[in-house]
Amino acid sequence: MWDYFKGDKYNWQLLCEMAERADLVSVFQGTSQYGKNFTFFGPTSNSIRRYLYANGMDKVSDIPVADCKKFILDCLLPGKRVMLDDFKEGVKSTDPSTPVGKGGEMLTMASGKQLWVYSFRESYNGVAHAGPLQIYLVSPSTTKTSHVASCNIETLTGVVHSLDYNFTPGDF
Amino acid sequence: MKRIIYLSLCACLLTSCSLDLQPENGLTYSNSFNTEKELNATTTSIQYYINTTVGNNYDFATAGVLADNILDGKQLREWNPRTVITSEYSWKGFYDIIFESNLLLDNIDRTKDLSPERRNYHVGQAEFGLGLSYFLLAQRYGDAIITENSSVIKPYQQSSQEQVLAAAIEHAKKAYDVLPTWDKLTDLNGNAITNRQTASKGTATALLAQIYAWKGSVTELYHLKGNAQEDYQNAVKYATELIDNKVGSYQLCASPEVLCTYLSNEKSPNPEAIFSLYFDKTRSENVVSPNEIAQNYVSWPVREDQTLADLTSSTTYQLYKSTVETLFPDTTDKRLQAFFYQWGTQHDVDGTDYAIMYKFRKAIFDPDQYSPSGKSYRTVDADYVYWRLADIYLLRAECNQKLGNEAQAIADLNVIRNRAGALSYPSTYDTEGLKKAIFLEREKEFIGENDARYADIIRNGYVKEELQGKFKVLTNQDIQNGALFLPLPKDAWQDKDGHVINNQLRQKPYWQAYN
Repeated sequence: MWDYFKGDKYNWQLLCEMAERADLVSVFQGTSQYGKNFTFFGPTSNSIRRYLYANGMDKVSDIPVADCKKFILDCLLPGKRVMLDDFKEGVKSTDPSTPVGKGGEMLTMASGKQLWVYSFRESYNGVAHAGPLQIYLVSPSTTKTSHVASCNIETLTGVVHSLDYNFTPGDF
Repeated sequence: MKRIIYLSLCACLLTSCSLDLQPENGLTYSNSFNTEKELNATTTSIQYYINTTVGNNYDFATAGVLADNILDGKQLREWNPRTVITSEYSWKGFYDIIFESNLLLDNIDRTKDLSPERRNYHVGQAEFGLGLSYFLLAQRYGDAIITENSSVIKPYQQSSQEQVLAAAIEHAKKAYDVLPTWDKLTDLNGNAITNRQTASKGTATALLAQIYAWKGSVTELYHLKGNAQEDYQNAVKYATELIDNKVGSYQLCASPEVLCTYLSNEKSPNPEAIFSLYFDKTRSENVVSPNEIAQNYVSWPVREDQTLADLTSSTTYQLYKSTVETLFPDTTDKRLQAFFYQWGTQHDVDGTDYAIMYKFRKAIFDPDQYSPSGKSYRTVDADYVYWRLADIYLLRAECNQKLGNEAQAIADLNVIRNRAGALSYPSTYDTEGLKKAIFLEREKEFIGENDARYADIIRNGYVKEELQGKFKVLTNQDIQNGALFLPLPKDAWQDKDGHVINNQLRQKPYWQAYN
């Protein structure tokens, strides 16, 4: 996974810098406690750049080490490789008192953070359930919904699902 | 004998036959007002145009509404002249009301078997339509056209503000004279009318109070010919009739919480509402509430298909908690609990604490199998209460303060304060004087509910302090040249291809520079 990130500078360069700063390169290389079979919801460089701009920082080395570590571990689901079809289908919440809807599954990330993850098949040209299957992550604490842009990126040490460019670290 | 036959033959030839043919396969003005049912079609048209035009005040709502962040129309809010000139505004809706009203008045004599009460009902609706339209035209455009009747079509000249307001008063007074009070309003089948859009004596009285209060203020602002003090006296007089229940029975709701349940259409009719734009759910399956202001403030939790985090990207008018705290420094004010969702709990999005508008609590959703949540939001479920009794109390207080009757003004202000459970005037939080306190009370009472704030600011002369952007730097000459009004709409003097159809109209001097 580390080689994959290094290979795609446009999307993953800032993530690599964050991992280096937080000393988590070994996680992506598969030599850490999380092993070689985990799922990673990757925040792209654009997301990290937005975070820097919103907080008045210029470069990744301005982010405190603890925050870098937290942002990466919030996105890491240890244990197994979860592919697109393995996510449970669900429906967005229609109950204003809770952001968690029906179906889906509560997953615990490596940092201990709980996220409600579900997949939903969108409609296409007006036909229900004829469109692509999309993965959504909802954080009960911030009530924000994050969306996966590219899924099922298989690497030697795990599966990457990249979060779309609208995500900002801290949305979880 | 011959002579008798000859004479009787002549006599027969002297009879005439009626040559008036009634067209049997077409609707013309001469054959479509024969029965009350046919006349009622025009009355219904007047109501329809009022319903769809009066609430549509996008430019002044964007400029005047109390919000910290708006998603849409930021340049308009700053009154950027080029943005204003190119934005969407037209006075056609008002002239539709005026045309239908004039049509009714020109043709009501053709209706047979019309009893005096029914005649008064229809005439009253038409006169109210005329009074309301001319008032809103004067308020939004300043100079406007006064048409002669429904049949003369010609390039009209503009009449000045004073003339338009005088026309409004004349028609409103006629409506006031003929209309019954709201409890006696019946439709043509004899059923009672319960919506507060249909004009009654109380509605016409409220219109008169509003026109006079506005007229007094603009007489002073624009140095018009007229007696502002007399206008304020008249406003007080009509407001008093409403408050003393002489023109219909209206009561203040018991508390802000009760007010919100009425505003959210959970119970009906609202005892405090005097004139509302009716939310006609039967009109179509796509119909939305006429209250665009309420729509623009709505967010989670009324939007059941959203979460709190969606507020910053989908709610058009956003309010910070700090702004609401500054507006309501008195924490005993029950309006804080009633108007805002879970006041006291933090509602944090991206580091800013927002105040969640909760005056309008019900929304209408359509089931939608395609949407991720299974339903899609259509509209907030609410009538647009344009004038309610609290408005009249505060209007009377404002006019009394301008007349120098401070004691009466304070009494009215305190009626509203007491209803809200807040401290009476003067309290430790009232540091800016009576005039400002009355204005702030209007802000507090009507926040998130209607578009009146712009007009309130103009009447009280707070343009430079309460509005933003170019409003703060307008010179007195700019204001006299029409900067606070909308420019003359293009469709008034050009047709859709750009050809000039009325060369008697002139753009206001301020807007001429940006044309």
